Amino acid sequence: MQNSKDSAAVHPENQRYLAFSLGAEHFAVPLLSVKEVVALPEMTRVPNTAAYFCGIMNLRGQIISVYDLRTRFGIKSEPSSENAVIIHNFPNLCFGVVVSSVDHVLSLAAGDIHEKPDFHDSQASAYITGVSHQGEKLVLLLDVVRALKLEELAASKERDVKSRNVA
Amino acid sequence: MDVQDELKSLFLEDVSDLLTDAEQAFLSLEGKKDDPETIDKIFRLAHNIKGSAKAVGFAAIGEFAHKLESLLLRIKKREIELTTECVTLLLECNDYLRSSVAALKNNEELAPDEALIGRVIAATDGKSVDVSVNHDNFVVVDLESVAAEFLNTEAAADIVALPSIPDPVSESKEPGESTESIQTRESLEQSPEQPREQKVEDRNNEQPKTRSTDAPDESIRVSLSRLEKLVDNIGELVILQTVLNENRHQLPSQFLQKTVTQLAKISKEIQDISMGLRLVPLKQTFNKMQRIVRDTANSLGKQVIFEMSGEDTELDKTVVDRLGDPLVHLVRNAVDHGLESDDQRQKEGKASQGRIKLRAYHHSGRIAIEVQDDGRGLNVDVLRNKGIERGLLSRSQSYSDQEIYNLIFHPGFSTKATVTDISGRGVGLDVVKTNIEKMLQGEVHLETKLGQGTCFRIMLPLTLAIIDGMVVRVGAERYIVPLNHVHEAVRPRQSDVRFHSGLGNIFSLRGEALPMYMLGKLLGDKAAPSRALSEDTALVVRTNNHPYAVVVDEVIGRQQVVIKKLGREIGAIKGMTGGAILGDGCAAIILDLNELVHQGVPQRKNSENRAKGAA
Repeated sequence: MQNSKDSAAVHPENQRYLAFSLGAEHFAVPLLSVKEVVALPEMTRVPNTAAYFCGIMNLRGQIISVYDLRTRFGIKSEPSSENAVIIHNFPNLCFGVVVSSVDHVLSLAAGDIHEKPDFHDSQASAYITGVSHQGEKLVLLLDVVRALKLEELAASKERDVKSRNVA
Repeated sequence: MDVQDELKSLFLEDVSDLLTDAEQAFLSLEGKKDDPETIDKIFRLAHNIKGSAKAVGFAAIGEFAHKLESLLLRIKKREIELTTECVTLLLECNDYLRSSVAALKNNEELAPDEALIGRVIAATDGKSVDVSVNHDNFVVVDLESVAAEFLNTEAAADIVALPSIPDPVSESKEPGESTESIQTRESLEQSPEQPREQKVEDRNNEQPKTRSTDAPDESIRVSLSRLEKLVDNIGELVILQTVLNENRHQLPSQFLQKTVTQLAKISKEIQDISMGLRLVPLKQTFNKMQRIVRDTANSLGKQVIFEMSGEDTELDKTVVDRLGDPLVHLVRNAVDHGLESDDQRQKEGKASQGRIKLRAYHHSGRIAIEVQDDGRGLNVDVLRNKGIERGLLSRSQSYSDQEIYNLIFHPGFSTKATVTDISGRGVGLDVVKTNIEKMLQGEVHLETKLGQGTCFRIMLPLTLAIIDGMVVRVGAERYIVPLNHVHEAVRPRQSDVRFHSGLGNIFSLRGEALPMYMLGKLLGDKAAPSRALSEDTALVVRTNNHPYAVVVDEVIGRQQVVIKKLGREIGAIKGMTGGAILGDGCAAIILDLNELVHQGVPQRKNSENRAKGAA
């Protein structure tokens, strides 16, 4: 972790990513959108939500929705003490994502990032923004908002609200 | 946000305030036409808007304000007489500026209203005076008042140095200057309140007074989101503090224990203060009503005296924002339907001018807001007949007057009415009532006396940010139900609950048959029991005309909770109004039982229940 931070300092133009694992698979998200990483908190389940919605948590007085990417991708994984929640902070959107473990910070130059493989089902892979080879490992760069369909969820709920207000 | 954007958004905030002040001034101008102080003030306001609009690059607004200023200058010089039409024109200009600002806030640009501009120019040219002379004067005055505005700050020195240049270009300020205008926002904001004498006399002393002597109670603007963050963190602090306080006996030294106790007191105080930060005075909303009264009265050809009091009463910002629309409705209603026509009033021996009073005051921990007219009042007999005609009242039953008055809150009660006495009364009042009850957790009361007038009284909670909640458990999860929704909590006996396969559970409570729902089922838990167990508790809800009971596993207790927003993607799920942090630091959902019951029950069943309720 220390090493990769150093290399980022040498190449400031490099993009930094936070790498994490879901089961045995490796992913990374842009570090800029990560607010913090917290240990698995106590969560309150919320009825009538998607299966990959774990519940809400209390982050220093702020209520944050927590999603599980493993459930979303259908990855099987045993609970462990390594499990953590990555808190993402986008404009108007703050949420947590449960991951199997948080690994390290990657510093990637544009050349290190390759196009994602061309799958037939482009819909399913729309949330992969690229891939990167890290030694033996293949790391998928993730657009987490897309992966969790958060915009769609918010939009459909807002439609509900609007139609209700009209009524 | 880059610097330019920030400047712009600060400008828009400022201008909104200035426009509100301006509107106020226009209205008072109508009362006393020759008040040079008010005219001066308006002139200064228009000037401020022009100056800062140009500084941050909103040319269209700047140009419009410039034209408006020319008109005001002529009024100021008494070259144009200030008629009612003229005031109306000024108010329209004010509205136009306001909507431009609103559009700019959304990053849109409003097309210039050529017709309005034309009328302003026409009004300005009402008497032909050499325009060029006018313009020269204008520039000089311009700089003087700029200097006056910046007088109390360091910036004044730079600007006062300018007046010898009678060049219109100097109006479009340098970028550097606009930065200053931001630094001195406080003085700008307060300028309308500044005593007027200061403006001229002090002009030559460059830094005559420090801000502290000038503005005893300064304020700064803080964004609501930052404030909410602060309140969130303080809430968390208090929770941690409670944990510490409860375990203080584990601390080895008495000194530490005492410190913890003191810390508890201070934390509580900080929490109280932080709650108070969200409170804002009603003044702006009340001032808006003055305008509504004026416009409505003018269009109806009535003469109305408008009085208001208690406009300094403070309420939660959210409450104040949401109060606007219902209040507009009530005020308009009072002028339109509450007051008789001038002739009618004279016939009845009243003063021909109607009187509308808007009052706000504290009443047993809540805020009361009253809209009172001295008009015709409601006629019980007419209302009763109308109610019977519409099938809302039964002929055989006797009703209290209050029950009959409350008919006007019934949806569509008088939309079809042609009975002159109450025609129109009640249109939209149901909306007012629902909005106040639903969105503001308030109540609307009505007092009326035939021939003497009607008074609508809105009772509001001080804040929407905190509610009294009942913490209940269903299965493994805890939920919060707003306490004011729960009429009573009872433990139903098995014999009182009957199951009907068509209707579901029916609960007989003191002879009344209530539909009974299982909260677990309502929340979509298929494994939840479908019948109440003997140790379960039923919450009886009577917030609307269809009372019902909801069964929970356990009532844990009562707690004041701070309402928090849920994430956007789950925030609007039906039946959930928000989240809150419980005493032990866990997050919990605040439920809206009405909504849950409404969406959980198939439409057909619902209507049957309703039929039952009505029977």
